[in-house]
Amino acid sequence: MIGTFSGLALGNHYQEDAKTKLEQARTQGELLTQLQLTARNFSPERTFTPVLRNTSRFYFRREEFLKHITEIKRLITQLEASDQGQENSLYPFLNAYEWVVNRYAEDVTQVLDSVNPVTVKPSDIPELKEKFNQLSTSPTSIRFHRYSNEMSSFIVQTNQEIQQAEKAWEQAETLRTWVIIGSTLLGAAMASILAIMTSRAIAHPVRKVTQVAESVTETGDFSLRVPVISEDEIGSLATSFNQLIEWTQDYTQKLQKTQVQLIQSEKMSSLGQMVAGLAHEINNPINFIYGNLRHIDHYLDDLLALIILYQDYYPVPPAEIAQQLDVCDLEFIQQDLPKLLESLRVGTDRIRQLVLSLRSFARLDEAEKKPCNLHEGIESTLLLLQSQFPEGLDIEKQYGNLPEYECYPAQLNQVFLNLLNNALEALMETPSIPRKQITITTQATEQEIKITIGDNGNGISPDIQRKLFDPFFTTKPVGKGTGLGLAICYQIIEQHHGKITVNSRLGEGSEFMITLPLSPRSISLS
Amino acid sequence: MSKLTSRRTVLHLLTGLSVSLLLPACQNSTIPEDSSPLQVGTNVGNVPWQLENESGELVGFEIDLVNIIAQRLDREVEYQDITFINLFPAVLSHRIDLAVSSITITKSRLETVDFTQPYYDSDQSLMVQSDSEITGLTDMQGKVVAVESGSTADEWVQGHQGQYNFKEVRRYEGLQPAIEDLRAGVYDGYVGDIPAFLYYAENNPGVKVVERIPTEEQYSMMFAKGDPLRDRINDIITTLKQEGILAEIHEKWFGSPPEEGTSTVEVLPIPQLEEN
Ligand SMILES: Nc1ncnc2c1ncn2[C@@H]1O[C@H](COP(=O)(O)OP(=O)(O)OP(=O)(O)O)[C@@H](O)[C@H]1O
Ligand SMILES: [Mg+2]
Repeated sequence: MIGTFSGLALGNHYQEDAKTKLEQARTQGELLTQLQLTARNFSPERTFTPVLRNTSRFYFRREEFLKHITEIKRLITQLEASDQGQENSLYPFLNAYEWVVNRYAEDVTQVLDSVNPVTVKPSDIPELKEKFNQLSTSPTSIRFHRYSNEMSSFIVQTNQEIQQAEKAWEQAETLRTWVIIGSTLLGAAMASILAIMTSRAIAHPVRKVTQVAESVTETGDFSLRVPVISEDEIGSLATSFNQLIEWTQDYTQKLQKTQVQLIQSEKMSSLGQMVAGLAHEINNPINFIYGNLRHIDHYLDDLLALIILYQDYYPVPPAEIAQQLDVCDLEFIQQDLPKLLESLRVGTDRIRQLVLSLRSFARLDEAEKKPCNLHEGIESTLLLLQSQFPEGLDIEKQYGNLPEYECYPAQLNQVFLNLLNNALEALMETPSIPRKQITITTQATEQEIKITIGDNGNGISPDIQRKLFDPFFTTKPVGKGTGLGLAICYQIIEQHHGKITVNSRLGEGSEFMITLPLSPRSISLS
Repeated sequence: MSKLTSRRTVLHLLTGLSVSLLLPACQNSTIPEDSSPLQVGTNVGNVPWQLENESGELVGFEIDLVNIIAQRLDREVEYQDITFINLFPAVLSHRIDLAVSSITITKSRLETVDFTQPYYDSDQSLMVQSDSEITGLTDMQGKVVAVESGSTADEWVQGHQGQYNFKEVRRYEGLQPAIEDLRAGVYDGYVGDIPAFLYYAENNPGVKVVERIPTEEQYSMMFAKGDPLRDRINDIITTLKQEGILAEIHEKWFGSPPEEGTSTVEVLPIPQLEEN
């Protein structure tokens, strides 16, 4: 580039030079031709002798002559000015010529001054004619005409100069072309050399980008970034690449969220259907049992009263009856039967509770938000999980005063279930813990509800904490964990415009905190 | 680092190449004058300075001199036949590099042109028909006189018009036409350079030189003002005098060696216009 420009600059310089020379030569040529044309027709004897007695014409021609002389002098001065800096200077010639012109003008005016056309008589004419003839053959006149004629050679010379200048112009043009061709070729050569050099300089950072790209694809670790070391194209490539990774990460997350959503709704609907069906199936027989328990109670009361009445009227029963009375220990039956019935009632009641919980949990079909008692949701979830509680599990509840919360209850129950499940699994994984504990706390401020579910299990190592909510992230063996539990929690809480965070110390336990915002409408204390 | 230096090397190379590309153009732009033939204007027929011999070759005292000078300058010569009066504008217009034609160094000429040191001392003279009764300038009263147009003779005649009262002055261009008219009786006496007249009269019938007019003129080569070629040629003339070559040329054309103390022998300074 530099070569091309400097070359072009030089080419331009020569071209400019040639141009000025050409213009100079042309101006000079024009001036010289004009000068010669003006000087050529000077012939005093022919100009003045015919008008020697015609006053007005004589003076007119005299004026014309003087004008021409002035014009010649002006042209000479102009030529001298245009001549500056020329190699073969016209100056010596013009100088001499000017002198000759002056002498000539002097000689002619001298003769002209000696003529007074008003007083000229016809007899004077031959003498005057002779005067003019002598004037035209005088050395000054001859010199004047020779110098004037010499301008032809100048004109020829100037024409040659014009040709030379034109040639120089062409040469400059050719030179320019060659410079352009040459420097273009050189530029191309240099460009390829520079390309090789820069490609080496570029290759390194590009390789880095490639490496990061590969490891991102291999590991799926979207936290990887290409180091941005320079502000050049490579730097911006790295930046763009990093942005691309970010976008890919965002996109992947969104995609996974959608996937989770799909899986969840699938899971929930099928689970919900199953639970609903099951609850219904259990509910009917339990209701029979529960309903009939009352009748049994009544019948037994009636039967016992009847036996007591028989014993009053027949204090000594026949031997066979007395024998049977001994065997059944009627007294014990009388005491134990109400207890039995009571325990039946309790059992059936529990089953009824469980079914209610199931139904409460499985309120999945409920698409609308409803004001709910969150404690109820937690309790029913705990009831569902009761069978899995390990021995000696202590569930500590610190319930605050919660307002009815506008929510999708089934979904929030799902959150509680997942969190409690994880807590239980964590406690089970470490049998060494002496006092297994699950702590549930709830509290409400004016703006939000906070629910924490904590355990004193094995805890979560910090390096995986930020991955917990990623779908399909699990540390559990295949078949046991899907890695969806927390992802679903995260998504449901997000749907409620809330937050879910984890606070855990390895070996000490974990605590998940759910923060749910309260809309003004839901602040009505239960 | 090495990448940087190599890039710089490439740039240097590039600059170098573009410069070398431009060099021919630079050389073209300054056309060397020295190799072109020397353009010499001369008034052919001005014996014995420049004349055509029987075989049509240009010869003469000044032709020999110029040829040797050109040799020493290592340049070809091209002669242009130009009438005497035209030599002045021709040299000024650079149509010719120099003029040789037994040109006298004069004060007024020095105002417009440059001369080398002189190489011949001369005078004017009067030539008449062989059978003329005119024996000298005094006989020229009321007679028609002829001169070479623009020559020192022309100047001398004008300057001495009052003294000799010529009836008329006729101006010729070239020796040949002037002498032809003299022989034909068109005019009475011809004033001009004595060496030419003597040489001509010696070799041609019908005319004679009747008087030497002591004008103490010196001949030289004429250049446009400020032409550096003048100094180079002047130096050559110096050596030619010192080597006796000019004397040889003199002897060749005048039949005798130049007299001691004349400008043909002595190395002289370049003529300058006296200041003030
Ligand atoms: N309370 C906890 N204590 C210790 N680790 C936990 C706890 N809760 C979650 N984790 C860790 O988080 C991981 C992800 O939990 P998540 O509930 O999303 O999936 P999962 O329990 O493995 O499988 P599932 O889909 O059956 O719930 C678990 O594998 C476990 O390593
Ligand atoms: Mg789980």
